[in-house]
Amino acid sequence: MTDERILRQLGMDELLRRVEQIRQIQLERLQMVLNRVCRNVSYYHDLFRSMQFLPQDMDTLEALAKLPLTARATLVERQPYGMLAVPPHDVVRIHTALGPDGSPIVVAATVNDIRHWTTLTARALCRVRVTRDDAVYIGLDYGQSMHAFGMHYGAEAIGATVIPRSNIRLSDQLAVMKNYRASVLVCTPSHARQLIHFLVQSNYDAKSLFLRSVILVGEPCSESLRKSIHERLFVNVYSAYGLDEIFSPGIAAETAEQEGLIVNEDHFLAEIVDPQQGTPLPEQQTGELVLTTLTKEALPLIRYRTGELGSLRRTVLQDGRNVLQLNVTGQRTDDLIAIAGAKFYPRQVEQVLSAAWPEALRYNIRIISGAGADRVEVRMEVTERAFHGEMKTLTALKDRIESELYTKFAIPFHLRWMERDALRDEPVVDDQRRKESIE
Amino acid sequence: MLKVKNLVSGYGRIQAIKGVTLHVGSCEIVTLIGANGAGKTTLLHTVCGLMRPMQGSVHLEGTNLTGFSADRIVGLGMALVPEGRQVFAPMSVQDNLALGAYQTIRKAGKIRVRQALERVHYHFPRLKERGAQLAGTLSGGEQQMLAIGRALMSRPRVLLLDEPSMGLAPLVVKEIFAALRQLRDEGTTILLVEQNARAALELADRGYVLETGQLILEGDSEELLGNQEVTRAYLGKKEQDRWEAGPRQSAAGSR
Repeated sequence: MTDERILRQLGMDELLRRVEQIRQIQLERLQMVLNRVCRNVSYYHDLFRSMQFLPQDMDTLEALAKLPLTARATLVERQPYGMLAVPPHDVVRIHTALGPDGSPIVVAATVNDIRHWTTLTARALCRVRVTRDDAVYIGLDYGQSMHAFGMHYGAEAIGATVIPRSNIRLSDQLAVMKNYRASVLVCTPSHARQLIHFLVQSNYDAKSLFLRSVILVGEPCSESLRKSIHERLFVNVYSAYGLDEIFSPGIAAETAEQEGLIVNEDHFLAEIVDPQQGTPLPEQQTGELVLTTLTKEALPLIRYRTGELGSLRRTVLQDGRNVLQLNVTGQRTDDLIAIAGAKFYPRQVEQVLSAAWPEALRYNIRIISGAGADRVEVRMEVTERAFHGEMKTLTALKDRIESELYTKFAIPFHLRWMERDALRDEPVVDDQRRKESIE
Repeated sequence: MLKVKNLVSGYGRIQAIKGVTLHVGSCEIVTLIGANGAGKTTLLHTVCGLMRPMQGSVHLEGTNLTGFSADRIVGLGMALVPEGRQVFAPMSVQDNLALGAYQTIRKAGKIRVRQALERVHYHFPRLKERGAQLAGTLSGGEQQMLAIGRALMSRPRVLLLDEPSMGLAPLVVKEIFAALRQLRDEGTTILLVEQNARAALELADRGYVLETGQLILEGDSEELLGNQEVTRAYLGKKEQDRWEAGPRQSAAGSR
């Protein structure tokens, strides 16, 4: 046997050993989480009993496909404590995520959940070479999603300087970033675009900032936008992925070599299923991302339907690690709209419109790619009667509705009145974000 | 190093352990904690071959040990320090240790046995001092040291210990656990079953929690010490005491 063949064989053995190791850990943790939810979560206890399923029947990872999927609606239905696997007084943190009908999902965490969350986000940062010598500017709204908290904890755990974004003007934010030599910016793609637009408009030299990396979270990002951010801010661009219900953004993160989103398999079992049938799909086929949490204590989730469309692929990285790569398309199985860090459902908008103008007919939400930022335009059909009264009444109503929408979703909405039947052939949601333009 | 997969074992029709999967990495101390009757001893006895599993497998560095006899498993490098010491009381300390080398002397020769004995004496000097004394006349702590020493005479890669702190004074427990830490640092992998959850978690790198035959929790020691379920069930310390007493020694700090 030649030296080359021996080395190749040794390489394969090492790969196999690593895969075996992760599968062992996954099986252990899966069995444990099933034991715990069977004992402590009535939903899963009743479900397993109805299936005559015992946790000890889960003797392989593949057997997980026998269990039904957990819908997001279940988390809403079972609020506030129905899905908790720990007593409420063990919960040290409660956040809310958006449920499928717009109502909140309570997301609870124990001390260890916070610790795992921190580990995962610290891991995401370390993967892209963030160290204690860095200053990390968290350019996210702490009230809008949990990504801000997650990255904050991770950066602090590494020992980096953390600069949370304040509610100040963009020019002042830049001043803070420059004065404190922020080398890493964590933000949504929308915010990055807004920042670049501002730099261009105000003739600000992006090179005068000390940024080295931008980590994008919270929204999908097109390749063209990533390229623009890279070229305009003179930074490396990375992504991290998570859900508000599950350790955001700790589910998957890119490496410094930008080899795609790598799933943290020691904490999650990831699957892709057919959105209609719920049946598992093979690698590289696009379907709905389903996650089983292996280490969550307060709110463990078994085969949780995320609503996100994507695909999985097992691959070997440059450093020889065998990993599971996640590709998220940005599309969903439901009509959730994500824009500028905010998320909402069209029916939530409808509720505001109906309350303000019960006689309103059709409505249409149009998301338009604008210079620097995406805009949300709500076009609402009204009857002829609306135009018979004073203009100022209509204007006041428009302002009130826009104000209510802003209060509810923290992003500006522009309302336009339309005459009857103008929106007859229009879809409820018209997302026109095809190409991002910085200019 | 040691991998247990879907292990089911028990007595007659009673399943004392129901589908347990765990692993112990090389040079790790992993502890298994649980209440009386949780299945800890059954698990250890099944792993080391004293009981036959009903289902599942045990692998030691890739070798499938499932169904092997206990003596064969000792020969492959795994030794048990049983619950209650179980030293041979009418025999001397030296003879107890010599019996522990029953397989070693045939496989590895007298030199290796002498080296093993020197190692035992290094970790437990009292056993050298009391070499001629009858094992039954030793104190509880000394008997525990003898039981561990006897197991070490077979030069195990993996050492299984069943409640070594049982019935011992805290200072003696500290001494024994310090010796286990040293053994780990020298390259011995240890699976430690304990009811003294706090002491075990402060010694171990990782732990598992076994309840009525099923594993319900796993994590590094700090994680388990921070878990409220574990605190309530096994650690019994009030929150106020924890904060009043000042910063707790972390598992890493205690090494």
